[in-house]
This record gives sequence, C-alpha cells and structure tokens, in this order.
Amino acid sequence: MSDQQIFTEIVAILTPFVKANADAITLESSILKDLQVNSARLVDIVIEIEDKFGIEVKDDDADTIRTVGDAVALVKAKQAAA
Amino acid sequence: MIAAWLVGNDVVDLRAAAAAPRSGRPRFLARVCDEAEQARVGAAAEPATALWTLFAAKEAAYKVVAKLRPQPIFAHRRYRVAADHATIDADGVPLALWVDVDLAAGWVHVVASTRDDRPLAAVEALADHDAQVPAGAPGRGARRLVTALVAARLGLAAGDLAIERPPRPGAWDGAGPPVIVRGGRPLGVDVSLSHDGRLIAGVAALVAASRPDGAGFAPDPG
Repeated sequence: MSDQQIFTEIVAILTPFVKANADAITLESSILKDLQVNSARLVDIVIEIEDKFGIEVKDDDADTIRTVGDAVALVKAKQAAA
Repeated sequence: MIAAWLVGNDVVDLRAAAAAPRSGRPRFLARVCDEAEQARVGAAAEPATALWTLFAAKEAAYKVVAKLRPQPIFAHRRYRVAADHATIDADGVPLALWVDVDLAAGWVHVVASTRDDRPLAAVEALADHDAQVPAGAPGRGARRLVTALVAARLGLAAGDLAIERPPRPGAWDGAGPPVIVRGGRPLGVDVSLSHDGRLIAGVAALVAASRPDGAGFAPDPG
C-alpha cells in the first residue's frame, strides 16, 4: 500500500470523529489538538486502524501517535514488518 | 513518597459518550481496562457508567503522572483502579481518587491526587456564550472555572489570576500541564483542567473542607 493510500484510508477513519472538514486534514494535523479528537475517540480510532489494516497496535505504539503522519508511518512500519 | 501535592481530574459527559456507540464495544473495554476491571464493568448495574468512571480515573491519574515524568507512556490498561475506586496504581504511581457521579445531570467526574486530602473541585455546564465559539471555548471555560475557584478560596481577585501552559516539547500539543499564575508568577497551587461535551471541570490542590471563617487556605508549599 502506498503512503497516499494509507493516508486516504486513515482520513476516512478519522472523518466521523472530527469536527474539521476532511479536506483540511493533512499529514501534519495533530489528531488531538488540530482535529479535536478526545482521548476516548482516539481509542476508537486505534481500533478502527487495526481493523482496516489488519495490524495490531500495541499500547506503546498507540501512545506515539500525535499526528496523522505518525499514524501513516505506524501503519507502514507494521505492514512492512508483517 | 511524592512530596508535592499534585492533582488531576477528568470529566465525562455521559450523554456525549452514549452518543458514540463504538465505545461500548468489547474491544474498547479490553483496550481501556485490565481483566479485573472488565469483570467489574460486566457485573455493574450500570456498565456504561462503570466503564466511564474507570476511564475518567485513568485520565485523571495520567494528568498527575505527566507532572512527575517528562513524557510518560499512557496506556489505559497500565493504570489499575482499585475495586473501591479510592485509589489507583498509575503505572507504578499510587494515587488517591475521588469519584463523583451525577446521573441526573449525566456526568462522571474523577479527581486523582498524590495526597489523601480531597482537593477543591468543580463541574459546571459550559456556558452558552462559550459554546457558540467552538475553537478553544471549553478550555477557556475550564480555565475561568478554576481561576474563580482558587480566587474565591484564597480571597484574591479572579482577574488577577491566569492559567498558562508552558511549552513542553514532545507533549501531545506541545504544552505542559497547566500552571496558575498571579502577576506572571506561579501561585504555588497545582491545578488541573478538563472538559467533555457540555461540561467543564477543574481541580485545585487546596483542601476542599471549609473553615468556618473561610480563611487560612494558604497555597501548599510542597
């Protein structure tokens, strides 16, 4: 999967949880600060990422996700390791 | 033993939580709670309230741990709430807890503290004029709530107090825990802010019990 495909899928996952317009989401967007996702919804998002990409996101990995780009990088790394 | 009196708090708007059906799923529960906590939620008369109480306890405790460790990893499952909800093992940090549940108003509020003294705390609905300004409004409301709380207890003018968040590289938003200042200088009272849905909340490390004369609540030197 290309970075762009992963990004597109992650934006699709994020969109129901954020107040911002999906068009405004970039790799640099902070999920908690810019997109105003609260911590409970972030747990939901991590679960959705696991399901969508067929990966396991461990607690330590989940805690490193600050931006959309972090999520893309994490998925890419997990897929490469699989 | 932790010398400083540090506090954290978290409020959950139960109506907003109920409107997010994904959060009731078993995998959400398993990601947030250890096995003993999952069993307690399953056996509770109000499982959703039980879950959100545990969630808020862990979030409140994390806010204390973030003041003790520069960049702590936050994994909800590593924060284990005692069955009586009086204490929490916050990834190795023992903390006291106070849980308030108002089902009629639809909220759970949990305070975590390094001391057994119950700190000053408040939960309020976000004022209408704040709700009309989406960006940053809940945070501003919580700041105003806590400055008013502290000012009233210390006999200060609320307008003389402000809450700042100094930069902290690596933090989720690049800022550290809130600090209450007077004239630009830290007041020496630890505070914590929270907001969710319709609600704002806050806590200050000042003893909650009132003296009859309403005086004598000096900032904690620890």
